[in-house]
Amino acid sequence: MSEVLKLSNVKKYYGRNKVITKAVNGISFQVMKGEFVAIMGASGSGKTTLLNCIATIDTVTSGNIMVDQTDITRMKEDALADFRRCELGFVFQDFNLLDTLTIRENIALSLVVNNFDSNEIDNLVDSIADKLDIKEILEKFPYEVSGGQKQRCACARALINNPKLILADEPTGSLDSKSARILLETMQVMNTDLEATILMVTHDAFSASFCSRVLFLKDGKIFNEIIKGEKSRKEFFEEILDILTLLGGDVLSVK
Amino acid sequence: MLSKLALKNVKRSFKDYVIYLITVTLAFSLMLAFNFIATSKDVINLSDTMKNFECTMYIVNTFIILSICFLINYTTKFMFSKRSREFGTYMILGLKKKQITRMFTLENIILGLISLVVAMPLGYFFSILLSAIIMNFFELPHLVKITLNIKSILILILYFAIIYFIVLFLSRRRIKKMKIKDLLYFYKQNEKPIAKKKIKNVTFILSLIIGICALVFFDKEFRGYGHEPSMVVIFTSIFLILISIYGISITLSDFLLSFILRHKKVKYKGNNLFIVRNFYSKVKSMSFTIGTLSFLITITLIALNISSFFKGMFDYQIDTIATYDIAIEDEREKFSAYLDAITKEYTISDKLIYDTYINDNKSITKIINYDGWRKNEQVIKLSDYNKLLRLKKSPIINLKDNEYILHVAREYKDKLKEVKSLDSITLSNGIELKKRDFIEQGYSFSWGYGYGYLVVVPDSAVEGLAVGDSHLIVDTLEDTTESFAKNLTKIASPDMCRENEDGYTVCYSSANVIVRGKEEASNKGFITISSFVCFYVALIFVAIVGTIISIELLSESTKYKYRYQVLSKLGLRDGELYKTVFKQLSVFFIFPIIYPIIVSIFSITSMNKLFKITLTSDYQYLQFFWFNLVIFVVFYLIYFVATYFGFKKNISE
Repeated sequence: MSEVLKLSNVKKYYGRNKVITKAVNGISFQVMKGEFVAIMGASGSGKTTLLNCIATIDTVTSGNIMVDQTDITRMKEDALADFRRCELGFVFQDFNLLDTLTIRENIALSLVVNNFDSNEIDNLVDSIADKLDIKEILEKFPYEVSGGQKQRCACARALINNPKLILADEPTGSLDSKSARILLETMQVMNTDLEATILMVTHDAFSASFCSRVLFLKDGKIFNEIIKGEKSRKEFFEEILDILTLLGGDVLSVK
Repeated sequence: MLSKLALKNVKRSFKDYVIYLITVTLAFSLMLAFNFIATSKDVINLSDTMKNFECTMYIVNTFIILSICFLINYTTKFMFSKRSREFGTYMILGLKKKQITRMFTLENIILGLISLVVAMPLGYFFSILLSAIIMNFFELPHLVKITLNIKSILILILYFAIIYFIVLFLSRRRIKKMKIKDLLYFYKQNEKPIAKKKIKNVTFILSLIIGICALVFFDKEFRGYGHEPSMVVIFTSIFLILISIYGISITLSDFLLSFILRHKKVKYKGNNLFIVRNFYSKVKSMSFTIGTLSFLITITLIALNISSFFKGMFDYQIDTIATYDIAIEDEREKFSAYLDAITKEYTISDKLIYDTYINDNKSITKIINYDGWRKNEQVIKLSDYNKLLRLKKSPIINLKDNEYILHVAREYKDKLKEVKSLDSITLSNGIELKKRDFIEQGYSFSWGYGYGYLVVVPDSAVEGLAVGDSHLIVDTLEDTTESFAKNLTKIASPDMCRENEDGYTVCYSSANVIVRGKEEASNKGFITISSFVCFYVALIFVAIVGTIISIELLSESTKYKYRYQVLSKLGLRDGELYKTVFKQLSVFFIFPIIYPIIVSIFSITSMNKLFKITLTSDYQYLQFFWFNLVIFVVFYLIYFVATYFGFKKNISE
């Protein structure tokens, strides 16, 4: 299996002069094609910063991030825009859908920017909506649908370009437990059936238990790593909880 | 797709930026209206000086354009911050900055074009309305016809292009500088740390001192009638006042906050704490903008007052120089010729012929060091004086046989008022008179031609004095005209009229003819321009200031809705909540106008030194000041009320 993402000794420091926050302090890991990886950690452990660096939203202080053999830390601005458009998909905690556009238009936006043929756009949107079970709401506006539906729409938008890597930042953060479960199952479908490679940041053990591998961050460094392997989801969940207890903090917030 | 997106955004923005759109439309239509008026043939033909009007308008419009740029730039910046996450999403989806810029530009141009299109018919309507007001204001008999001229419309389009070119250039730079991270997490960003409190308090005091010094310098330059103020000092003090306005606007809120926090009684009274904290955080994040707002308000108030000064000057001049429709000073034999000419054109409603007498004892002339062409003093009989008063419907006066009244123009009043030697004077016929009264009015110039003062004596006291000048006063039923004045001047000395190189007939005469219509016309030009321009500037600036404050507050109402929800959860009833909102908005609206009011009252007090001799009294400017403040507040209140109801609606949704 090929390597989609490779981080080597990535560091991200904030602040000037005396007060320096080492948000990410030398992290290296790889993600293989078709993996569903979760990054966990207490708040302030650097997980979102790390994701932002991979997403090219933020820049690294040092180290390299390779996406499919290309070093994104050395790319110029316009190239980065192209890169984001073609190679990456994003799912945010608060959806980031455009409320002036219908769900269909939201999903199609990145294709439109990519200058796809209009018939092809419609077909693609329909087929992906079918798989994510949002076909009925395609003509509605974001404010007319539920949070769970919005997030599935965001997933569809992230997926439609066939990106090499999908980055999700607390995708279940704004959802109730039922919608969260549906979304996670959807993401599993995306991972297994549509062969999407997903890197998800979460502080919720339940969400992480859907993944194939979990990385734990503490103070900007990798603290531990566990692999689901042949374990059942429940067993994996217990294992995650154990490590969170070890990490200290945040266990209470795990439902 | 991008243009479709832009269009959709415009549709949505419409609701959010109604006030902004209204103001931009208003500003454009006012610009158009004033240009229509400035270029209208009827207005230019009002008098010779009106030719400068159009030119003045171009200069003033430059400043107006700059302030509209400020407004539009401010709002786009504002829209930008409000929509930062949307832009972040575009970038995350891989849109290039160039594409985002193109979309944003398109959106803004669409919004601008809508305002421009609406502004055109509105501008025409305003021009009709405004010209009617102006004609009324200057008591012009005939209505000015405003013609739709292409030139004004083209100029407006040019202004529009300039404004949007500047604004879009600035927002292009803003987009170029932005980073996705900042856009996506804009709402989570902490406010930037600002200067320490101590520094702020020092700055506050320093700004206050600079302000006071500037006002003192400014005041020193206006020494009164006959002293030309130095432009260098004036501009320096204006510049210092500008610095002081910004300094105070930026630091006053800290000063107030530290004061209120130190006094527990004030702090915990009612909702003070909530209001002050809210206010403080808002002012802190937009202190520079508040400085600009205060500056604009200062200009507005001063402009309105200068406008009043000119209007007051105009009224006073007309009243003193041309108290009656026609006033002629000439030899008595010629009066019948004048009367014939007048009867041909007008219906005479009243007429009066009187003489002034010569007093060779120069008791007054000595004091004022008069070295003009008249070497003696003019004395008028009480009965004639009373007839003059009766003609202008003023109450008449009485004198005992040994009393006199000194009637002086306001230019001379300081020199003559408290002079002991004038308590009693002796005329050249030996009659001694005691001073009964001191009247300071300008009429002396026309009633006793060429003098700044008149001695009013009992009828019996002129015995033995030589007749100086003879005067003919006529009131007509109809309004007199500028051209009729020329006819009368020809009668005065037909041999002394000649044509100059420019083809104008210029007449020189030892006689003096004052025709009200002519005086009005020659004064009107300059005063109309000045008054009109000041009013125009004031109107647009109030609109800009109102819009910016309103947009700021309305956005806050949606952004910080939860703050009010907290209050209501803490048990505040709706009525009390609205009262809090009312208080808070009042504080925010009042804050930027306090310092401008102080600055403007001091500066117009200084300017009054120059203007007061041409006004009916030394303190008339205070009347102007209050009147203008009311005008300003009425306009400002419109924005306040609109904001209050919008705010209420937003937080109760």
